[in-house]
Amino acid sequence: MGQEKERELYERVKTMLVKDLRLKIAPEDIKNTDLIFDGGLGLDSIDALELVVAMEKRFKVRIPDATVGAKVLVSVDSIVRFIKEKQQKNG
Amino acid sequence: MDNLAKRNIADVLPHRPPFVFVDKIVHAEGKVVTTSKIFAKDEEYFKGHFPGNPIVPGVLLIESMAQTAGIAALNVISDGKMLEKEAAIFYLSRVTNVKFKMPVFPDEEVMATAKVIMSFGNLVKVFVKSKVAGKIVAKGEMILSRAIR
Repeated sequence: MGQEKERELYERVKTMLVKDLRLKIAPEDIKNTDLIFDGGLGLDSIDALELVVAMEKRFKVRIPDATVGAKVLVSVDSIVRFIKEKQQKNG
Repeated sequence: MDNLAKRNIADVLPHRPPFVFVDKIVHAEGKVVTTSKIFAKDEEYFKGHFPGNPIVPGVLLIESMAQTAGIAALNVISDGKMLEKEAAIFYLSRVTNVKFKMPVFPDEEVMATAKVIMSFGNLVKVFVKSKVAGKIVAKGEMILSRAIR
């Protein structure tokens, strides 16, 4: 994935977080390493489900279970990494 | 259609009178369950909601949809093979985007449909809607959490 496409992917993930989880901040104010839960962006475990639904809707990637979710739904960096891996596997 | 549609409400819902807002399961197939409920005109709450102008309270329509969502969630987590002993309790954790489009009056039959969108961990997201005579009277989204016992 080229740098331009990767930057675009980061922007799309941040926009998803703001829009689908109704965050009161601008996408550009989210750092790639900000924690999504545990006090970072102020989201809770119920939001995790909303995030899983949003990722499937916007990126066509499915987080299969809570174990994978615990590894993926950590930061923007980890979400982008997961989407890239899935998209590469799916060609 | 799943056998679920033939089940007694008390077998598939932990709720008991006077807080059961599903009369019967009309249809159940996979992730989608439809129930019916008639809010009888002699219910005590119609005396106050509203005097001389009885209307089914919106919160009761939400509860009816939530109970229907609970049945759908139970059907999904048990792969449609719901048995009485497997009955789980789901708590209502989030209600969003609810719209009440038309008033519902006593003795009208309300058909609530719940469709499970996603199940993740102990959480289940469900789209819900209620209809009277084929017209949508309420709709929204809910998240239920399965109680860990």
